[in-house]
Amino acid sequence: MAFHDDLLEQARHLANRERKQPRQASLRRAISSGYYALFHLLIAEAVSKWEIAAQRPQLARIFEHARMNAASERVLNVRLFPFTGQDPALVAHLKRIARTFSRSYEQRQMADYDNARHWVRTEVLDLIDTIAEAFQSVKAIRGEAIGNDYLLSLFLKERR
Amino acid sequence: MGTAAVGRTRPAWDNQVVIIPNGVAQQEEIAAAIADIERGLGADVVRLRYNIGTNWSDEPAIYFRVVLTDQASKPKRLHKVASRIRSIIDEKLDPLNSWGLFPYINFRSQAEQDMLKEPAWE
Repeated sequence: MAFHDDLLEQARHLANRERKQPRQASLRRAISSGYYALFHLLIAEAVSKWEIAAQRPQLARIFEHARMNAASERVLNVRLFPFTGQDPALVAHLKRIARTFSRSYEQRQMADYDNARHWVRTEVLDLIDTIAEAFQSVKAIRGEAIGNDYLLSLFLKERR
Repeated sequence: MGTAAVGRTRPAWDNQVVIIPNGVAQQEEIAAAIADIERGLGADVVRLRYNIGTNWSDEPAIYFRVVLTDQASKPKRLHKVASRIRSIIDEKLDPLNSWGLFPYINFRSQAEQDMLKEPAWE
């Protein structure tokens, strides 16, 4: 399996690790693994466009969490991206990916750095299900112009 | 319509105009719209709570907390139930584009909340 698939499987394993009374450590690491699964999937998709395969790992290092999140939030803003005349099904897939990335980014930050937050299994399993669904949406828009533009926006600096 | 603050259309150091997200200024309207939505969520939902704040990126955000019945929270049903509720909130409220608030929707079961008794979810 690819690295991002392994991370998603690991997220589900951690979320279900304790049969009853899940440990906060397991749930927090499940959220983080789920986020990183989508993070690495999007990076793998983006760098796959680079023809020289041996250089892709180096290219992958330019991606930044906050910039990817900002790009995802912009896609959801209808004033900035009205998607007029675009295939509604493809737009729905793109928005699902962007929404899931932003949501998992936020939850991963809280899971890793906010010790006051208490997590429950239901919300963690919901996040992992949503990430798995976003994986399907990534496949659905693979090679489409709308998907390629989004992948490019994930590492380009926003121009003012 | 939302606010220009969401799109970061001006440099961060340019504070000539202070922009308040619609969602912050229209809290009564939001409360009414959410109460209306909550009535239509169906028997899977025990209650819906929310608060407005800022997210980890300091952007205006709205956090929904949905308590589900234990039946609706079972792993086999959870994704379908949560997706339906998320779709209703996104389509009928569209907090980002209506009020400039990025939405986050979290779920927990009645049994989980009964054990934790967190006031924000009551």
